[in-house]
Amino acid sequence: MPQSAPSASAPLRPTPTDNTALPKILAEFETLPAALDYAAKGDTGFNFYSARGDLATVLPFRELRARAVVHAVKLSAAGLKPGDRVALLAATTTGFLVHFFACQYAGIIPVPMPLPTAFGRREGYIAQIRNQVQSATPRMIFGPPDYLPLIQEAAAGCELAHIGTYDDVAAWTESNGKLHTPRANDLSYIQYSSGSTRFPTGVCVTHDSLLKNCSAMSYAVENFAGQRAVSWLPFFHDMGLVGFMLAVLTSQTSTDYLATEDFARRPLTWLRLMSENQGTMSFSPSFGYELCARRVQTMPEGSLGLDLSRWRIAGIGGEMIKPQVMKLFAETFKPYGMSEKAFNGSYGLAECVLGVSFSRPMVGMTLDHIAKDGLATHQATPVPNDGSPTGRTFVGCGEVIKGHKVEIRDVDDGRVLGQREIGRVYVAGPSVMTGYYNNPDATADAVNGGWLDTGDLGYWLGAELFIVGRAKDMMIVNGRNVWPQDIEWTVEHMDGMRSGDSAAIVLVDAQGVEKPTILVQCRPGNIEERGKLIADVKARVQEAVGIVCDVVLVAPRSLPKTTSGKLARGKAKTMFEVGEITALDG
Amino acid sequence: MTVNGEPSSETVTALHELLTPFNKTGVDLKPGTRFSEDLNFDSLVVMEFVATVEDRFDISVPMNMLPDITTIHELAVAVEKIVKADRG
Repeated sequence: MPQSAPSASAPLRPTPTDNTALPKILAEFETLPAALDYAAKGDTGFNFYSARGDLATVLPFRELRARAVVHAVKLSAAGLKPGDRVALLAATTTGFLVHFFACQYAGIIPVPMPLPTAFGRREGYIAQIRNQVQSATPRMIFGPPDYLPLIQEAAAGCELAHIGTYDDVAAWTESNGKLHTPRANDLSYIQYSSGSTRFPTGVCVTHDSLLKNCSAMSYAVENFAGQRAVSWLPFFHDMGLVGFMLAVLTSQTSTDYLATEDFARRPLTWLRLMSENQGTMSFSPSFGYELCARRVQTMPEGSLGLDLSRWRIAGIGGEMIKPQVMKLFAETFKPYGMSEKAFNGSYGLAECVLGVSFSRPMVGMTLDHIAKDGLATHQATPVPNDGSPTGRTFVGCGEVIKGHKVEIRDVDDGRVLGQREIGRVYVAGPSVMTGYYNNPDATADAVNGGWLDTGDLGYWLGAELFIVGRAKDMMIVNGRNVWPQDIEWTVEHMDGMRSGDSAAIVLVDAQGVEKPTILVQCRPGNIEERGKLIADVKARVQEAVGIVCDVVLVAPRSLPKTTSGKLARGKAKTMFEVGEITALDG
Repeated sequence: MTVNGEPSSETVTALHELLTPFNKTGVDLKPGTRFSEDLNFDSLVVMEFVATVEDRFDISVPMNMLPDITTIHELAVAVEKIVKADRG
């Protein structure tokens, strides 16, 4: 069992992994309040750990429910009505959780909003928050006190009844508010997705779609008795909010949290928590695994004292899965009992609440090596894995969750494709969103007759789904389909380049001629160096991908990223076209 | 430590030492050197570097300060401000 953390006064103990008397139900509830009402009958709950990995706060589901109900009355008494939106800065704190669920009990629609994460990003962050506030039109915004000046600046000019801290609500004494019992098809929350090409797009998530997705995911990862989750994922991202807040709560699963910024500073704390609390489930994009593996390279083997042998769902999602990164992680942590069979490739998107497909537990990754030029012909032709540059390795994203259907359709004529044929991925089922909030145009682009166009490209291998890239960014050069990822991969593997340093786009010139163009982030240098870099990139791309591109050098960090850290390619193109990203003199 | 809002040379020297292994672009470290544009820091490198700063000065850098820190000079000022607040 998990150990209690040392403390000066009464020792804190994390919530137990299993309830002794309450049977586990995997999200088979009508509404989110009904799910929390049930979870509150047991002893499991959420545990918050400090940057150093010490237990700081314990929030059993029982206490979360009690506090959420009290705060629901306060929010209602403050004049918020069912259907009103409230923006919540999604910090990894009890304040965020209590108010997210307070909204559920009052029929108010919470809108989780991101936190800033980097040096000197003030303008970009403020613009992002302002866009989301203008789209969601919340009546109030709450957050941790430290961020209020930024939020006030972002919301300047917007009509809001209140901007304040989570503690403000605790001090409100009006008690004439009312609880509101939602119906299954009512909105539960709005999630701003990391969609690259449509901004800002708030996914409308109903109680029914949420619970159907949570249930299907819990069955897919076999979240039965004995499972314990550990997470550092931010609550403003679907994988953190749904996967490690809502899916775990609706299945009464105890979960241990490390704040995202604390993970980023000391990533090994994540693994220490897995070890000490005997965690069995945790998810991360590839980069989280990479960060840990890199940090350990300089340490003597076996010196960490970790036991990762109970980890059975090491989920990978949120970006293209990088097989070489996972291999490095497996090798690095094998001495600590880490099994590569725990790696679980998955696929999902906020427009379908979160999950679409998962690998079977304890089977490990399925790798498929296909011909790179095959991508252009829509065929995933298998080739030997001999490391040759004409092949590319993809990781399987598992099988479609129960109650849902996936079709892969031809990019040009829309016919349904079969094995190893590459096309657009469509999803249907109860978790597909009803639409983007107040955005009928974007909704019509994305959902048609119950089928969601994910904008991703994939193929089938048996019952397993493989994702190869984004259809919406596909470039057609002289009648040939070219994947921008391939061009970017080429550029980013040149000396001095890094992942995210380039964006391959198609620009249309005044004569209507399409010109494939690569925006390349480059550090300041003299004109001669820049000229050489342009020539080198051009030559390398021509050699590797076979097309002639224009190369435009742009300032470091000027290419936009999505909230999940992927290149926002469509946005980069728009920003360049309207002059928000400008070429460096070269 | 701080005179007229200027960070002490000890603080600046310590930051330069900590930055050396992160200085992949090989630029000269000056007060006005910018983390993103000149040193090419992405958000993960930022966090790794913040961790080393925290360990060296035995402080905790609040996340909400990061958006306003663009240069080495601004970081030095912020570090001294936190140290001063922590030590009373």
